[in-house]
Amino acid sequence: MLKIDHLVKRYGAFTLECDMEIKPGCVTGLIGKNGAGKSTAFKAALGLIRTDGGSVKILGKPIEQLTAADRQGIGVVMADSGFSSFLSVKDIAIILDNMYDKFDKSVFLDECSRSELPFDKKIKDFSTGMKAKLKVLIAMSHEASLLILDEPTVGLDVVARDEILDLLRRYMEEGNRSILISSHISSDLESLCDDLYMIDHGKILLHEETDVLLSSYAMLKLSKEQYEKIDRQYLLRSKEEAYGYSCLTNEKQYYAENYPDIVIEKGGIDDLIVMMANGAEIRKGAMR
Amino acid sequence: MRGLLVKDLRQILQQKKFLVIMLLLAFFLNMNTDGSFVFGYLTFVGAFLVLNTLSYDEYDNTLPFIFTLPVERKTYAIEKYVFGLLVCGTGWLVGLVFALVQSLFTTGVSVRENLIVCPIFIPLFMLMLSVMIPFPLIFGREKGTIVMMVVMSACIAIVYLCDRFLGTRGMSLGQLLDSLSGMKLGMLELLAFGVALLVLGISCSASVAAMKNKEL
Repeated sequence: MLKIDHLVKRYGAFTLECDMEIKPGCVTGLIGKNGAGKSTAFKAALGLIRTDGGSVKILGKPIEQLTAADRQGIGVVMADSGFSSFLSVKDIAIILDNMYDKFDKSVFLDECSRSELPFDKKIKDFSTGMKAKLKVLIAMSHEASLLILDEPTVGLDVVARDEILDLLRRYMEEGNRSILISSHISSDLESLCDDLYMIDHGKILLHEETDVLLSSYAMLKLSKEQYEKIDRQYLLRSKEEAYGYSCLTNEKQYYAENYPDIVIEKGGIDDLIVMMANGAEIRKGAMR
Repeated sequence: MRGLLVKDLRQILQQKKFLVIMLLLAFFLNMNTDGSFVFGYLTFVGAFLVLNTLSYDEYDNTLPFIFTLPVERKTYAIEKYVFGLLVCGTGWLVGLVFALVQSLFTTGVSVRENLIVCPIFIPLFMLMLSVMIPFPLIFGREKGTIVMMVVMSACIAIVYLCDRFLGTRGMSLGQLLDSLSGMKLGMLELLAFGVALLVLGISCSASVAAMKNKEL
């Protein structure tokens, strides 16, 4: 569906270096803190900015060769861009009807009605949640096979976020569709994504299936003595704490079996982000 | 293209009150001025509305989103010219109706007089669009206005220098323009239309090239 290969984009001191693949039938998440390069990666993937190297293939075609007809198969939510806020839902339905071959106006208006979006009110008068829902409904309105969603849940409360995630789950029920979604709210992605990429300072630090992340990754809480003696082969990052060290591992079972006296906490994606972004890299070597 | 035209139309319809006031103003001013006024006025309002659609696209950072829709950059640039021609053309047609109404209800103004003068406004609004569209499209609305002012000033300076140069050879631009007045009006309008079409083509090509390279 989407393949980003050795993509490079430079903005002054910031450099994005990115490799990603979104497979058919999968929901892929891109996580990272603000300013990590998520939006730049999305813009590059959509051909909105010139790149300094690498290639992007979308729906099997190089991005430079993507025609307007090809773009009918893509639905997009951008964090900082959308239809003019002076338009209403009614205006947008008319525009989309003239823009997309597979747009169904009555279905779109039904969905808007179900999401309690007023038809005649200007978007600028919508609440943040209503604006976000409308953006997602627009992206889903024309039977696109690929959705590219940059921070679709940003600024929303738990209820509104859950409604949007439900919309996306319903969209995936059709099968053979894919979603690339970014967020800095990890719980959104944990429940939705099949695999996750983590980005920091423009670089992909980690790519893993969500199930593996949740089952094999863990935080080890170690005293200084335990830290000195432990086998560091499967430790990814470490961070000095008041009690000693916290360490991120991708082999929870190994440490549970071989070091029964250490404290092992189930690693959430938030811990993962903090450790991968701020933790020190571990010098490998058996210390047993 | 159709989707973009509809989008721009829906955007200018957000200013319904402004449009009605402009039309009423044009109608009443037209009754008290010569027939040519209404064509200049309404085609200028048309060009101003096209500029407004560019502002709408810039406001809210809408432009990057537009290019995620089934729209090519080249089509976006061309659409602004097509929309401009349609809006200014509509303004011209409304002007024609107003001018005819004026001829019917005002003594001393003939229908023939208004019909003779109106075609020259077609190349004029084409030239106006050629100048007004590319600058905000390439540089953005705010910066584009400044660049447009600088370019227009440079053009005036060039005309002045040409006139000075011709003066050293015993000629002047005024004499050249006077020689055009010897031509038949139909020929003159055809020539103006040809020049406007050429300028519009150059302007559109420049806008397409700039849009293709624009970072969003």
